[in-house]
Amino acid sequence: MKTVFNFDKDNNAGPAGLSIRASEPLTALKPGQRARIEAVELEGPAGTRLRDLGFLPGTEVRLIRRAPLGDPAIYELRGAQICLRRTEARAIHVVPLPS
Amino acid sequence: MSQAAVLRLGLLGSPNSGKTTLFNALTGLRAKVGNYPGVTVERREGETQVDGRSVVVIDLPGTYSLTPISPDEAMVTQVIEGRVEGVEPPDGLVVTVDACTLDRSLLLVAQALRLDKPCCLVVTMVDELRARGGHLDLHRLSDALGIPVVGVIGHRGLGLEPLRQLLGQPEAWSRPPILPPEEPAERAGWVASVLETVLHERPGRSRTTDAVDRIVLHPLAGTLLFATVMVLFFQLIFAWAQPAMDLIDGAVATSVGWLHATLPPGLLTDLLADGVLAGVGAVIIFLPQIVLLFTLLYLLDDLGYMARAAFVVDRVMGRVGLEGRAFVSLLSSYACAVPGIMATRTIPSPRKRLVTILVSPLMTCSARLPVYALLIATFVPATSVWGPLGLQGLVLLGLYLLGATTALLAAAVLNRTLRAGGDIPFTLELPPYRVPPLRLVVSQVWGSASAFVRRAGTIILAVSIVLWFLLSFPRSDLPPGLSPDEASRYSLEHSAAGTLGRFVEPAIAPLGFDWKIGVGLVASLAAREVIVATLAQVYAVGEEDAVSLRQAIRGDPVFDPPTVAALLVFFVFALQCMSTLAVMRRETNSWRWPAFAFTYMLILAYATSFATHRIVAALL
Repeated sequence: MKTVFNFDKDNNAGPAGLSIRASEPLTALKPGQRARIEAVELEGPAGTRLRDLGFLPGTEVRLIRRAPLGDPAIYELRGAQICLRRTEARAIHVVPLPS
Repeated sequence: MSQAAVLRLGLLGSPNSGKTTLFNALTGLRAKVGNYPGVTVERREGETQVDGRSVVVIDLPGTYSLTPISPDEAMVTQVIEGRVEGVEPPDGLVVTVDACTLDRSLLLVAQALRLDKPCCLVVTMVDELRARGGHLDLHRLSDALGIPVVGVIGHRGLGLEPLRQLLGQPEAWSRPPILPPEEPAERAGWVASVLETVLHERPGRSRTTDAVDRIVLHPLAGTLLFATVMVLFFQLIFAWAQPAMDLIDGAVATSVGWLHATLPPGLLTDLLADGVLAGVGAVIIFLPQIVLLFTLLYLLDDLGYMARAAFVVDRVMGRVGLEGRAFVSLLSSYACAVPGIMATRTIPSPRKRLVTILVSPLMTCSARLPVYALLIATFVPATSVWGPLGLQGLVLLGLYLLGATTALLAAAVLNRTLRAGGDIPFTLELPPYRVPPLRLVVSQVWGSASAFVRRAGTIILAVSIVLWFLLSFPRSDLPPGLSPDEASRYSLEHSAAGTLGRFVEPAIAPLGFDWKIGVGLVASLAAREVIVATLAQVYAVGEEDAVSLRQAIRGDPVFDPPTVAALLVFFVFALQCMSTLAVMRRETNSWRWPAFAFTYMLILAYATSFATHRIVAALL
C-alpha cells in the first residue's frame, strides 16, 4: 500500500481540496471491482505499451477475472478487455471505486 | 478527370479493429502477400478500382500506437513516412476503429492526425455498438476530428459504397483545423472531450461475450475446453491430414512412374522424375497440414477463442519464458514443425517468437515416427511391462517426452542467453466473440499457403534436386548380373552420398554408426523418414518390404543395442529436415537462425547419442 497525495478539486474529502487516498497496485483488485488509475510507474517499452492500450491516469478500470492458474488477469478499460501479467499490472497504481 | 498515377492508401488500425475484414472487403483475393525488404514483417497490398481510378490499399500491420516498440509497429511509421526502400509512401491514411472501443482507439487517431497526411476515419462494428445500447453520432465525430468519417459493417458490405466514393479523392478530404495534443496524458483529455460530444450513450458490455466467457474462462470448464481444442488441433494435423497427404504421395509416385514409362530412359528423365517431380511432391505434401491448421487457427482467432486459449495457458508457458500464444505452435510441431513455425506469426514479441521457432523442431514430429517404428519394432521386445502397457509403447512414449522436455528446457535457456530480437511485455486483447465472414478465413488461409509455396517451397525444391544429385552421382558402370535391388544398392554405394557416408564414418563411429547409417543420415536431410527407404536401398531389400528390412538390420552386427539406442536419441534431437530449415529461413528472414538451430540441435544430438551409447554399453 502506498499513499498518494492528490490535489484534485472534484474529489471531496480533506480541507483545502487536499485528499488523502490509499492507492494500491492493480493486482490487489478483486474480480468485479472497479478502480481509477493514479499512475503507471513503468518506463521503457512496457510502459509505452500500457499507455498505448489506454492505461493512463484518470482511466477507469475493472478486474474481470484471473486465469485458472491465478495469472494473468483480464481488465476492462476504455471499452476493451486487456489481459496483463502480474509483472506489468503491479506497476499500475489505482484507487478503488465504491461499487 | 485526369488519369493520375496510381493512388496509394494506407489502412491503419489496432488489432481487432476490423482492419483486415475491411481490407478483404475492398481488395478480395487479389491481395499480394509478402515481406517488407529485410525484415519479417508481413506486407499486404491489394488493388481496387474507384471511379475508374486504380487505388492500391496497403494493409499496415495492426498497431496500438505510432510510438513503436516492436518491428511490426516500427514498420507502420516507416512505411507512412516513406522511409522503406522500394515502398512508395501512402498518399492518404484510412484509419479504422472499432465503434465499441472508440475510447481506446481515439488515442491512435490522435497520433495519426498529427502526421502530415490526409486522413479519413472508418468506424467498424456500428451494428454491434447499437446492439449493445450505444449511441454514436458520426456527423459530430467528423466535426470534432475535422476529417471525413464513414460507418461500416464490414462483413455485410454495408457502408462500403460511400467509403469507396470517398477513397477516390484523398486530396479533397478535410484536414483538422487544430491538431490533437502530443503528450499521452493530454491526449487522454482530448479523447475524453471528443467522446463527450459524440458518444451519447456508452455501449454496455456484450452479453453474449460475458455469457460465453463464463464457461470458456471458467477454471475447470475452460481448462477442459482448452484441452479439447488442443487435442483437435493435434488430431487435425496428425491424423486428419493423412488421407490427403497419402493421396498426394500416391499421385506423385504415379506421375514419377508415368514419366519413367513415357520418356526415353536416361539422365534427363531421371532428373525430371526423381529430382524435380519428387521435389515438387516434397513441397505440396505439406499443404494439407498447412491448410487444415491455418483454417482452424484463423477461424478460432477471428472468432475470438485463440486470445482466450493464450490467456488460459499463459502461466504455464511463462515459466519457460514463452507466452500463451506459443502453445499452439509447439503443439502443432508435434505433427510437423513446418506449420508450427509458421503459426508463430501470432507472437508479437520478437524474442519470444524466435525462441519458439528455435525449439519447435524438438517436438516429436510425425516424420520421426517411421524411424522410431522401424527401430523399436525390430529391436525392442514386445513384452508387457504392466498389463496392456508394453515395453515398445513405453520406449516410444519416452522418446516423445524426451523431445518435449528438451524443447521446454531449451526455451528457458535460449530465453536467458539470446540477446537477439527485443522482448516486449505480454499484453493481449480479448475481443468480443464475433462470427468471422467465411471469405475472410479463406483469404487468410490462401495467403499463408501461397506464401509457403513461394518462399519455403522454392528452397525445398532446390534442396531436393541437390540431394537427388548427391544420391545418383557420380554414375558408375554396373557389374553384370545384379538384381534391380542390388543394382540400386551398388549405385548408391558409389554415389556422392555413399562417399559422404564413408567420409563421415570416423566422426560418427563413437556413436556406433557406420557408413550405411551415415548415408541414411545424409539422405534423411530431405525428411527424417527417408532414412528408412535409404536403409532399404543400402541393404538391397525392396522398399515396400518392411519385414526383410527388419531382418536385414537385425542381422547386421552394427545394430547392437547401444547403437540402436544412440540412433533413436539422435533422431530425437537432430534437425534432419530441410523443410523446417527452409521455413525457418522464411520466418526469420535470414540463414543465421536455421544455421544456429541446425548446429545446436546437431551438437545436442551428438552429445546425447554418445552418452547414450556409452551408458547402454556399460549397462549390458
